[in-house]
Amino acid sequence: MIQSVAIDWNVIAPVVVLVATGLLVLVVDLLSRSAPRQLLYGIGIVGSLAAFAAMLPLRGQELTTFGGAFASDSFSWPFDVLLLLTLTISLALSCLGKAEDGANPGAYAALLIFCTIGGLILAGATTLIGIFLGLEELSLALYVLAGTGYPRRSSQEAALKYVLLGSLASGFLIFGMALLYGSAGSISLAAMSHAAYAGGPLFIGGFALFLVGVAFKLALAPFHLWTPDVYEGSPLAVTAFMAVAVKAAMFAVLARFAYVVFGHDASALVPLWILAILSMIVGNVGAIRQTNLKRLLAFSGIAQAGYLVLALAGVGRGGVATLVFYLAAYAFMNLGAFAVIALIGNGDELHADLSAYRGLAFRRPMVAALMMLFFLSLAGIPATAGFIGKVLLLGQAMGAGPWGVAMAVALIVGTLVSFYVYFQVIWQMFAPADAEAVASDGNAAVSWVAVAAGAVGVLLLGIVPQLLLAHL
Amino acid sequence: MDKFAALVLVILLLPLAGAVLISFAGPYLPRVAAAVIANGTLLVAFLMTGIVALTGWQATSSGQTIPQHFAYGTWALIPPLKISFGLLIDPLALTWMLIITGVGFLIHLYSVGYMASDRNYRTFFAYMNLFVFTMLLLVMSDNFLWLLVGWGGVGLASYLLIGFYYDRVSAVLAARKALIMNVIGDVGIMIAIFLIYAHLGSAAYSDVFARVASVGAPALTAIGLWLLLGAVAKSAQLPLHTWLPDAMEGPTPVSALIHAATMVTAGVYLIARCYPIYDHAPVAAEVVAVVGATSALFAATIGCVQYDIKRVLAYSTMSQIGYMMFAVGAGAYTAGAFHFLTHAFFKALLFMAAGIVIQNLGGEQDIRKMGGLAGKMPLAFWTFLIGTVAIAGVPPFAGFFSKDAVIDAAIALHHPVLGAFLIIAAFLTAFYMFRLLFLTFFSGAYRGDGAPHDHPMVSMNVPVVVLAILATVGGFLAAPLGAALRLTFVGALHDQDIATINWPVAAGAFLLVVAGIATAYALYQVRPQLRESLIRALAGPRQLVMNAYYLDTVYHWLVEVPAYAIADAAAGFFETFIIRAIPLAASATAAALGGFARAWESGQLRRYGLTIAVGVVLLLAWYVITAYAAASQGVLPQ
Repeated sequence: MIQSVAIDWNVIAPVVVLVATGLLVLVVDLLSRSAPRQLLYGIGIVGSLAAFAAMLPLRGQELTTFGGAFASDSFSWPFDVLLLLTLTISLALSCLGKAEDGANPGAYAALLIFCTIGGLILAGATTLIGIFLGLEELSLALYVLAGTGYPRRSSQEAALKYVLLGSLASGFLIFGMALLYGSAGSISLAAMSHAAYAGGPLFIGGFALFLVGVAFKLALAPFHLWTPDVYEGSPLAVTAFMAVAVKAAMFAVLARFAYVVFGHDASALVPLWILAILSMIVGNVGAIRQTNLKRLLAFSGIAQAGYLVLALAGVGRGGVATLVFYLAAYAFMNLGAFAVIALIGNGDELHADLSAYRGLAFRRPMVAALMMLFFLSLAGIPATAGFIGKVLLLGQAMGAGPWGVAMAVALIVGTLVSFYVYFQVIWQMFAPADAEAVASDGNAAVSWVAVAAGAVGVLLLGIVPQLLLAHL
Repeated sequence: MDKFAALVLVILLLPLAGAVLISFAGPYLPRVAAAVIANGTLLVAFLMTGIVALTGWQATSSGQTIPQHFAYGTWALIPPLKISFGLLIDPLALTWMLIITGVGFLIHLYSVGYMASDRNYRTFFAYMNLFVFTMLLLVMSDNFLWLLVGWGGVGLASYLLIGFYYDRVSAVLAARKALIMNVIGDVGIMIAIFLIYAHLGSAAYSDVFARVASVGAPALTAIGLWLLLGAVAKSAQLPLHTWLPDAMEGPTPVSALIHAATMVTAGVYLIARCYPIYDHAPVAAEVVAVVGATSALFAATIGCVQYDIKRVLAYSTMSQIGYMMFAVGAGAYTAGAFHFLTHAFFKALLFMAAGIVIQNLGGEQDIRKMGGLAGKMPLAFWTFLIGTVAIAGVPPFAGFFSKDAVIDAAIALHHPVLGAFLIIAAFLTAFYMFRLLFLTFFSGAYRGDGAPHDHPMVSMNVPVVVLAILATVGGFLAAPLGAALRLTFVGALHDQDIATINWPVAAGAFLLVVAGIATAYALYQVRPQLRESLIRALAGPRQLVMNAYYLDTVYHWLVEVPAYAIADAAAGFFETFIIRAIPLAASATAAALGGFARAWESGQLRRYGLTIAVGVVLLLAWYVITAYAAASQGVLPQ
C-alpha cells in the first residue's frame, strides 16, 4: 500500500517560487515571441529575489518534508542563498548586448532557473534519490546551457564533451548509489551511517563510485579534465554560474554526506583528501601557462575546489561555517571577475583572451582596480575575502591530523604557485597595451552592478568577516 | 554612542580630517586655506579636549565618577582573535592630549609665519596634522594594538618631516636614520604585544592590567624590557638616541612639536601607562630608571660643547626626557608626567625663540656666528631667557618645580647614585643653557656676516609669548595635575606627591643651578681667556664629548659595517646562487608541469574518459588495499 506523504509547502516554498518563475518565463516567451530578453531575464531576477524572500522565514529552522527526504535546515540555508545569488548575477550578466543565449532567451532563462532548482534540491536532499534527482536536474540543464553559444564551435564542443563525460560520471554515481543502497538497505543518509560503521566491501565500493561522481562535478583532479574546455566554450554567464553554483550545490551534498555518514570516523574520506591535494597541484600548475581568462579561471576553480575540501577535514561544526564562508568568498570573487570579463567585452567572447587586458589600468583604471581586487582575493591577499577564507581553511585543516597538515601544506604551496598566475593577470593590466588590443571595451550598467556586488562582498568579507561568520 | 563618546572621537578624527582634506583638496585651494584648515582643526580639537578635561575635573571634584572608557566596536577578524577599537580618556591621556592639541596648535600657528615662503607649504601642514592625529591615537587608544598603530604613525610623520627638505642630502639621511632607529623600537613593542597576548590573553589595557598579578615576574620583566626598547627608541634615550640630534635637520617647528614637546615623550607615556606592569616587574623598572638617569647625565655633558643652537636644544631634550624616564622608572609616575608638562612648555618655547633667531639670521644655526643679539631681537631674547631659566630650574619658573619633583623622588625612593646623576645633570643643564644664551645673545658683538634683522611676525610672536607665560607659571599646575593623575595611578606602589616641595633638597639643587649659571657667566661673559685655557687643558675629553662619545662611530663599526659586509656577501653569493637559482628551478619545474597539464588537456574525449577510468580504478584500489590491510591486522595476532 502506498502511504500518502504529507507535504509541508513552507519548506519547499523557494523551490515552488522558482518553478513558477521558470514556467512564467516560458509562457511569456511563448505568448510573445518578440518579448525583449531583458524582460525575460528581469522576470527571472525578480523570481530569484522572491525565492529569497520565501527563504527568509525558514532561517534558523530545522524542517523536513516528503517524509524526511527533503530538508530545509541551518545546513542547507546558506547554500540556498549562495545559489540564488549566483542565479541573480548570472541572469544580470546575460542581459548584456553580445551575451550568447542561443537566440532563445526564454529557454535560456528557464534553463538557468531549473538548474538552480536542481541546486536547491541537492542542498536539501537527505536521501540518495533526492541527491540523484537534484544532480540530474542541474546537470541536464547545464548540458544544454553549455551549448547555447552554438554558432561558436567551441560551445558545441563544450556541450558535447560535458554531456558525454557527465553521463559517464553519472553512471558511476548511480552505480555507487545502488551499491550503497545494497549495503544499507535504505536510501536515507541517516541509515547509511550504520553501514559506514560496519564498513564492508559493498559500502566501501559504493562510496568510492559515489565519490567519483561528486568529484567529477566538483572538478577535483583527476576528474577535472572537462573543466577548461567546458568553461572556455560555454557562454560567459553560464560559465560564471557553473563555476559557482555547481560547486556550492555539490559541496552541500558532500558536506552533508560527510557529516551524516562519516561523522564518527572520517578515515574513509582519505581518498578525498588525496583528490584535494592533487587538485591544488593540478589547478595551480595548470593555470600557469593559460592565455585565456576563462580557462585560467577554470584551473583556478579546480584548485579552489581542492582548497574547499579542507573545510571538511576534521569533520566538526566549524567546518560548515568555513565551507560556507569560503564558498561565499569564492562566489564574490569569481562572479566579480566574470562580470569584469563581461563588462570589458560586453559579452563578447573574444575578450576572455588575456591580451585584451594589456594596459587596462590606463584605459579603465576603475575596472582594472576592481579586477585587481578580485585576483588579489583569489590569491589570498589580506583585506580580501580570499585571505580570511584561507586562514579559516588552514585553521580547520591544521587540527585534523596528518592528512589535514598535508592538505594545509598543499594549500600554502599551491597559493605560492597561484601568485604567479594571478599576478600575471594583474601585470598584464599594467603593461603597455598593444595597438590592436585596444578594442572597444564595453560598459554596461548591468555588469557594473555585478562587479560592484562582487567588490563589496570581497571587501566586506575581507575586512569584517564577522558579518557572515557570526551567522554561521 | 552618547555625546561624550562622540566628542572624544571627534577630537581624534579632526586632525585626520584636516590632513586628508589638505592632501586631496590642497592643490585646488589657496595656500592660506591649508593653514586655516590645519590650525582650525587643531584649535577646535584643543577646545574640545579642554571641555572634556574640565567636565571630568568638575565631575570628580563634586564626587561623581564619569566614564573614561569609550568602546566603538569590535573588529573580530577570526575568533578567538578580537580587535576592538576604543578610547581611554583618563587624566594621564588628557594630560598628553592637552599638550598635543594645545602646544600643537601654537606650533601650527607659528608655522604659518615660519614656513610662509616654503613651496611645500600645504604638504607641511598635511604632515603636521597627520602627526597630531597619530600622536592622539597613541595616547587615546585603550589597547596596545592601536597604540602600536599610533606609535608607528608618529614614526612615519617624524620621518616625513625630518626629511621635509628632501633636496638636502643630510636631511634625507637624518630621516632615514630616525626611521631605522624608531623601527627597532616598533619591533620591541610588537614583541612586547606578542608576549602580552601570550601571557595575558588580551591586548586591552583593562584586561592586561587587571591580570598582571596572575603572571610571574619573569614574564612581566620580559614584557617591560621589550616595551622599554620601544620607549628608548622613540624617546631618544641611550643607546638609541643618535637619531635625535640629526633630526634637527627638519624645519624648526617640527623640532619644537615632534622632537621636543610631544613625540619624544611617547616613551614616558608608555611606561607611565603600563605602570601596573612595571610595578610588578621591579627589575625592568630599575632598568628604565638607570637608562633615564644615565641619559640625562650623558646628554647634558654633550650639550656643554655643541655649537649648533638646535643640537644643543636636542641634547637638552634627550637629557630632560632622561629625567622623565628616571621618574617613571623609579615609580614616581606623576613626577614624570609633571616634568613632561612643563618641559613641553619651555622646550617648545626655546625652539620657537631659536627659530626666530635662525630665521632672522637667514638660516644660521652656529652660535659661534651669533652674539650680541639681545638688543637686536628683544622678543626672541626675553622669551629665550624665560625658557632658559625655566629649564635650568630657577624658581618660580616651571622647570624648578618639576625637576625638583623628580629629584625628590630619587631621594625618597632611595636611588642615591642615580639621584646624584640627576643633580650633576641639573648643574650641567644650567651651565650649557646659559652658555647657549650668552653665546647667542651676549658675549660681545655680533660675529656673523652682514647685519641681523628682526622681522616681527604676529603669527610667530603670539605663540612664543603664550608659551613664555606658560613656562613661567606652569609650575603651579602641580597641585591640580597631581590630584587628577591620582585617578589614573590607582594602586601605584611608589608614586610620589608632586605638590609638596622638599625644601632642603630644592635649595641644594638651586645652589648648584646658580653655580652652573655662574660658571657659564664666568667662562663666556667675563673671562673668555679662562675658557681658552680650559679648552686647551681638556682637549682630549672635549673631543670625546664633542663627538657625542663617538657612539655614531661605534655603531658604524659595530652595526653598519658588518651589516653591509653581510649584505654584500649575500648579494654576491646568496642572491646569485640561492635566491635566484631556487625560484628559477621552481618556475622551470612549474612551467614544465604546467606544460604537461596543458598538453594532457589535449581536447580529446577518449583521453579524458581514460583518465576518469584510471582514477576510478585507483580509488577502488585504495579502498581494497586499506580494507585488506585493516582486515589482516585484525586477523593476525599481534
